[in-house]
Amino acid sequence: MKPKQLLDMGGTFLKGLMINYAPEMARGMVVELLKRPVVYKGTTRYIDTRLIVDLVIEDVSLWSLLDAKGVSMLKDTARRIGDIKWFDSDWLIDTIKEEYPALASQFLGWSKAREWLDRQFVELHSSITS
Amino acid sequence: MTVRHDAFDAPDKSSDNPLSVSQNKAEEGDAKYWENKAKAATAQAEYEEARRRAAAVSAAPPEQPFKIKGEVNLGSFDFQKQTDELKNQLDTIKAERDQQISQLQQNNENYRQQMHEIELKMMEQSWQARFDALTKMLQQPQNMAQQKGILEQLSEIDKISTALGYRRFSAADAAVGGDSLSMKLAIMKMEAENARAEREFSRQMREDDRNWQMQLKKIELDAAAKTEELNLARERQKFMTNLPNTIGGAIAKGLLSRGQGIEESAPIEERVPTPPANQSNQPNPGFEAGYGEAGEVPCPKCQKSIFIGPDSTQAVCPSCGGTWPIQRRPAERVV
Repeated sequence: MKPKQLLDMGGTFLKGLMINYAPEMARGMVVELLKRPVVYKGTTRYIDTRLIVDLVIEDVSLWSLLDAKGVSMLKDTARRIGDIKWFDSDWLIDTIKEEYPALASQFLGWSKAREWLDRQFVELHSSITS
Repeated sequence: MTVRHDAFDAPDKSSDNPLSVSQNKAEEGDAKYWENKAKAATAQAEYEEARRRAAAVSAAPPEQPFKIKGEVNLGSFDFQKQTDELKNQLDTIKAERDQQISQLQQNNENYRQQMHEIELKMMEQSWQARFDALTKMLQQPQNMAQQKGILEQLSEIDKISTALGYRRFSAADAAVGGDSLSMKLAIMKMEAENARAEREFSRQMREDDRNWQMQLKKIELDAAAKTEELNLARERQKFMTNLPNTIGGAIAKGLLSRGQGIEESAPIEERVPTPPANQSNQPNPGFEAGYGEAGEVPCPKCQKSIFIGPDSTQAVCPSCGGTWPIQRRPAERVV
C-alpha cells in the first residue's frame, strides 16, 4: 500500500471517528481551549469567572478573544461533523462542569452570563453555516 | 485463393519435374486458406461467447459491500453475590470446625468417664471380695475354733487372700513395690492413654487450625484477585470511555501548538480565584453578598466551587445540583 493511500485511510478513519464521537472529542478540545490564555485589553488572562464577568458586562464576543487557530479549528471540526445541533450552551456547561465548576455555576446561576453564552453559540452557528 | 508464383525463379522448382512442384504448392495454398478460415471462425465464436459472458456479468446486480455483524458479551460480574457466597462458605467452614472441636471434646470426656468407671469398678470388686471373705469368716466361727494345723491355716489364708484379689508375694514383687502395683500400672496405662488422646486431640486441633488458616488465606487471595480484576475492568472501561475525549484534547493541543503562541505577546495575569462572598449563618443555607458583588464560594453541600453573579439572586452548583439563595446588602466591594 502506498503512503498516500495510507494517509487517505487515516483521514477517513479520523473523519469517521469524529462523526461518531463528536461530542466527546469536542469536549476534549473545549477543555484544552479553556486552558489557554487569551488577550483582553492588552493583558493576557486566563478564562475564569472574573474574565467572564468583564466579557458579559461589556458584551464582548468570546470568539474574538480566542486564538484564531483555535476558533478556526472549532469551526472546521463543526463543518466536518455536519450535524452540530448538540453544540450549544447546555452542552458546554455539562462539558466544563467537572474541570471548571465555578464557570459552569456562573452560567447556571447568573442569567446575564447564560444569555451572553447563548449569543456566543448563535454567533458561532451562524458563522459556520454562512 | 492466394497463389504466390514466380515464373522466373521458382524456389521450389524440382529439377526432375518442375510442373508437379508448382501443382503441389497450389494445393498446399488451398489448404492453408481453409485452415485460416476455420481458425477465424473459431476465434469469432470464442469472442462472441466472451462478450455474452461479459454482458451477463455486467447485467448482474452489484454485490453488497461486506458487513460485519456480531456481538461480544463480556458477561456479568456480580461482586455482591460473590461476596455473599464467600461469606456463606466461611460460615459453613466455621460451623464444621466448631462441630469437629465439640466432637473431639466429647470424645475426650468419654475417655475420662470410662477411666473413672473402670477405677470405680475395680475398687467395688476389691471391696466386694473383702466383704465376702469377712462375711464367710464370720458365718463360720466354729471352723475357727477347730484346731487346725499350721499348713491348713496357711492354705485357708491363701484362699481368702486370693478371693480378696491378692496374690502370693514373690521376690519380683518385692523388687518393684507391692500389692497395689497392678492397680498403679492400670492407672498409669489409662493416664498414658489419656495423654495420648490429648496429644492426638491437640494435634488434630493444630491441623484443623492450619487448614482453617489456609482456607482463609485462599479465600482472601481469591477475593483480592477478583477485586483486582474488577478494578482492571473498571479502569479499562474508563480508559475506553475517555478515549475520544483524550483524542479531542490531543488534536486541539496539536493543532494549537502549530502556530506561535500568544503568551509572549502580552503580560500574563495570574489565574486567581475570585474572592469569596460571605456565607450567611441562617438555618436555610444561602449566601449574603453586596449589590453588584460577585465571587466564588464553596458549595455548602459538595464543597465544589460555585459562582455568585453581580446581580444574581441564586447560586447553582453544577456538581450536586444544589440551588442557594443570595441575599443582597449594601456593597462593600464591587468587581
